[in-house]
Amino acid sequence: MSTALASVGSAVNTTACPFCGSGCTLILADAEAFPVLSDPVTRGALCLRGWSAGELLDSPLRVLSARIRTRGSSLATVPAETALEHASARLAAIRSKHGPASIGILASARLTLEELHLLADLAHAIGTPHLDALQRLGSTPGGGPSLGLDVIARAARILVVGTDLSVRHPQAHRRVLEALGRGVPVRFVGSNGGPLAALATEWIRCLPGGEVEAAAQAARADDLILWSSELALHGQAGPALRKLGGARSWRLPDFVGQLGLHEAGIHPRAGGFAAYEMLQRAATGEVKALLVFADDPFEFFPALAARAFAGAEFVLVTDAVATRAAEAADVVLPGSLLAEKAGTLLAADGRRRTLEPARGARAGMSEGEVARRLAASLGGAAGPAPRASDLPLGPDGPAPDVPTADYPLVVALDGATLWGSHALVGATVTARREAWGLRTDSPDGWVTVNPTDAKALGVRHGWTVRVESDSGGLTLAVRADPHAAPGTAAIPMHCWERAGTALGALEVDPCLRIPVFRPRAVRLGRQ
Amino acid sequence: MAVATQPVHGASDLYVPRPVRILDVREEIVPDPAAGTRRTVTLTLERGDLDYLPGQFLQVTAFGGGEVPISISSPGGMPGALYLTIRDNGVVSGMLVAAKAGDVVGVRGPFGNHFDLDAHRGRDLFFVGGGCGLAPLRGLYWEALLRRSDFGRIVLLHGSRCPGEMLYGWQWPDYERQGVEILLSADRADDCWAKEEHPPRCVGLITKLFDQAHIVPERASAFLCGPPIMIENGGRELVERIGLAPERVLGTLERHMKCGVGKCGHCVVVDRYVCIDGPVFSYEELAALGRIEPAW
Amino acid sequence: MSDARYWASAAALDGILDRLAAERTLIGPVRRGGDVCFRPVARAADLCRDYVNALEPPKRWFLPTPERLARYRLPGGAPVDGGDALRETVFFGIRSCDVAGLAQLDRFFSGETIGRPDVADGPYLARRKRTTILSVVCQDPAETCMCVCCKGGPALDAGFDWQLTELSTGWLVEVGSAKGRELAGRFVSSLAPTDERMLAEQAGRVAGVVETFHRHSSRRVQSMAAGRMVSQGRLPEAFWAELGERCVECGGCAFVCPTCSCFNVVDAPEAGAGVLSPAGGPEPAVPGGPTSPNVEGTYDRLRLRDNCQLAGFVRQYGGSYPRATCGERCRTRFFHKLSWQFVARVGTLGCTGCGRCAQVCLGGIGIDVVSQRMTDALVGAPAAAAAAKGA
Repeated sequence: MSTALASVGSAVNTTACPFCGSGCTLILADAEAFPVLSDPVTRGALCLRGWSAGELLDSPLRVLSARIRTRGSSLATVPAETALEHASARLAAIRSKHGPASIGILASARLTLEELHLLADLAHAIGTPHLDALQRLGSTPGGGPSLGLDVIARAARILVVGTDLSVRHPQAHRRVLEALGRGVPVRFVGSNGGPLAALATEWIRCLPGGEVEAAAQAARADDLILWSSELALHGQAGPALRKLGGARSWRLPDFVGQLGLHEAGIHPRAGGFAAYEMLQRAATGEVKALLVFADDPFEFFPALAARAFAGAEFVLVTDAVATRAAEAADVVLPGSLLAEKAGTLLAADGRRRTLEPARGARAGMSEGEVARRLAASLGGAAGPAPRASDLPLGPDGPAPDVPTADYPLVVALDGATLWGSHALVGATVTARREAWGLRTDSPDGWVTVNPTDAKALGVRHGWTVRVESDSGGLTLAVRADPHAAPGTAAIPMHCWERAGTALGALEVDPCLRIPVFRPRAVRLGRQ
Repeated sequence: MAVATQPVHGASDLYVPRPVRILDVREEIVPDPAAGTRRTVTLTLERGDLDYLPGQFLQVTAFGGGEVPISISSPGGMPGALYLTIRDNGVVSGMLVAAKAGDVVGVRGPFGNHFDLDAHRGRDLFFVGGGCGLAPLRGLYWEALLRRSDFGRIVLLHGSRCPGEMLYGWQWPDYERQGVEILLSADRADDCWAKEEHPPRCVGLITKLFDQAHIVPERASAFLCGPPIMIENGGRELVERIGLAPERVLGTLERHMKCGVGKCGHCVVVDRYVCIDGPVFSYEELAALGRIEPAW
Repeated sequence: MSDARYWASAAALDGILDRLAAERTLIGPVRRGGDVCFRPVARAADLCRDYVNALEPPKRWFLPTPERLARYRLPGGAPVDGGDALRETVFFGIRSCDVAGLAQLDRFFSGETIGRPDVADGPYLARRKRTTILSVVCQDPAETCMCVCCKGGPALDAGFDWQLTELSTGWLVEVGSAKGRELAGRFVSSLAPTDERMLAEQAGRVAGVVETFHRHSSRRVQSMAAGRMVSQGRLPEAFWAELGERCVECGGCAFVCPTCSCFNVVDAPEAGAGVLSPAGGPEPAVPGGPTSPNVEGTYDRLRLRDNCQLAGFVRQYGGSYPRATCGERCRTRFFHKLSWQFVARVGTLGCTGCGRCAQVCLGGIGIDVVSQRMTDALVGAPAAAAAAKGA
């Protein structure tokens, strides 16, 4: 890395922050990120993830070379061409033996629009209907138009539903705070508020899973409604899309490239499996090959991903950073960071923003390039994919539990911990230290409750408790936090699979065919 | 081993660790996950020309892992070697406790201020070590023992969460022969331990030992090292209840450190750098810090 | 007071800058779209003239992130220092608030503030030694500027090699150091003597900026009231708790502050050379780093910018947090910037009024807002309560 006073490459290079849906613009000064002042979204501020983005460039966890695993052995470094040929050959053989629908493609919201189109083309070239992204997270057309941050500045009243904006959408959070400062009434509807709930004009407390209903009842015609995918996380995607879908409602995107997933048609075609279903079908051996681009299924579903990777005959992972998925793959190809890509991103308000490389791709390769090469070798003259129609909405997902005498608390996932297991965050030093900090302190996970509830239950912050539903239970450390509404409990997202399985909360929401954690009635007791 | 090159263009070697060989490793505390005790070892390092005073610390590098501050727990004059007692508290210290004789670690320092034993000549010395806090005090009381006639009573008070976490117990018989009084406390212990008569002990917090120690305040100086709450409560008891002069009560602060030289900011408490103004602080200084930042 | 003053025509100054750009590295303000950054330029003509300041603080040239402090190979290699190649550099266009910040950082990194020259920071000082500071007095401050409150400008008495003020014709050049004298001597043929009229014009311009600030700016660093409140620990927990709700721990304030310098140090494997630690296993010291001893490879001891308001910054070995809440950590920051204890140690207020923190804060609690709240708390203003729900 260059640390000289007058260094090569110290031209003014801007790029998009690769993390959340706020979509800020960074200047990379050597390897140091700074916010852009003149961009109306960024306005000279970033969150810690953005400030740490420069640490990705030379992270020890960069994937800079291709690797191949020969059966039963560890991964060996090979030239990228060798790995590409090998992957093509394996995929061609699997397709020939088991048919095109035995191959599944997992995309991500870390890619440019062009790269996503290339993945759609790859699916078309292979002939498979299985194309989706775990990071779709319930993002779908509907749920209101894509508004811009200016709409917050112009709102006469604001209703924030079920999302901790300070972590999920810091630029929206900032503008909401500014609105508060101007005397605009800001109300928060939710069970686990974060700082905004404490600062809001009113905190309308509800049980997890009850946000849509509570918001629909509380909303006034002149409210600007801000919401996010946490509602889908609780299994409420269907009701949210219906009831919070008006013109003055904005579903904030979670990831910088998430809107591109629609635009490029990254969702399963007719007869195709959604992302989570692909993993399930790979685990049973129905899906024989998985192509994973810039994502890590092990983040939230380590057990399922392990079974899926073991069940599949061939797994290719292409990524810029090392992940558990890359470790378990048969072939690894290097991807590139957003700072190294040229292309288009759809901003949160739907406008196109052009990205130019702020750095040369260290590994000389990108996810899009890999997709293009594989499509060429597997599809020949297949041509670009036809534009896919939107994913049809299925029936509503399972309803959340309500508290009972035996199970008086309702537990759900804490959406504010999204970044606490994200592969890109994990490849930085500073953002990782903060986002993963609680995991370091409580490696076995935790459950957050209101201090009043903790006291009533006879437990103290830091103690070990057993959380039980009528399906089963698990042991966690307890954290007392006044931001949690009484009667509710929250579990971090990296415990999604473990807690979801133990408590019988992990289900697939048929509305959008995404995995959810259905809020469950539980009891807490001293372990 | 490759020879370190000269620094270029004025970049200093303030931040470059010196390689030092481990001569010996002694197991002090065996890990017991059920009881929550963590592995603790004493490394004997080759000393070279490193000069230090009791209370000072080294920034110790586990090559490949990183650097942590470790108090020196041998007396200044000990020829040829120095002792570091290290507890497995994280990745870097975990690597250090797994090291073997012959391994090489990195060293920068010594850093920090020190205990000024001369200022307490002729007095009764009370060393109050909570848990691993006994390690930094070891060099100090050892030094006092080397000049035994300069001081009155020498009393060691050592408290732990449980008997399995006590440090240096193997030295007690030898110390007692040299006229050191030893008192032990454990937050929790079985009856077996509690009923043993020697050394005298109690079950409970270390401050419970103060009365057993029969402190004569006018003649006493106290040196406290351990968890902050122990230093705060213990210090206050000694000064306010038992009546020691505040300038005769000294404590140490421990902090996460990245540089050891007053630059990185990690060890700042209010306006003090633990690595420059400490780690040894007087009771008054600690009380003043506590007025601005109560939870130091 | 600067020891010598000259006048230079605009063309003469450009000529000097062109010569310096040819011989050394000339770093000055350049414009990219709506943003201004300090970057190397090939000629004076490439410099942007119409700017207030860059959001990037000039300190980043002296405290880069990452900076290699040492490097070693395993197995068996002794550590060597970071060994940067440094070139002679001239900074043109840097503002007084940043010059004042650098002066503080100079005293800090030289060990002067703690009376310990034996622990002077070599890497920082080596870079500073090879730079010449040609500052330019601000005549059109931004909305967030507050240097007037902090003796951070618009003009300074010291800290620069040259301080330049643009006059109606040409530039007033004030020499402030031996290095500046040497430079003036070198370019003596481009410099002319000053006269009373020029000095009066400069003084008038500076006074005009100060007056404009007092009259039109709504922002202040309320250092007197704030000093009293933080220095004596007079602000209740609720004050800091409310600030803690607004701080989102983005880190930005310290990253842009001209007087902040806290850093993290990690031993990092080379890019791409790291390995993921086993799932459920111990967390490595740096992502991709080893968790067992003696893992082969080349390791760089890097220092990275850090911020005392982040929870991970205050985490102690074993997992305790002496400042466990965000509010307590906010208290740390403002103590460092505004307390008398720090003025006593450092020599000046910890803030130079550059206004960057007001710009970068996602929670809207820059030093102006916070010091105003402290003032309200001091006088017991009911406005303090209203502020709890607003900006």
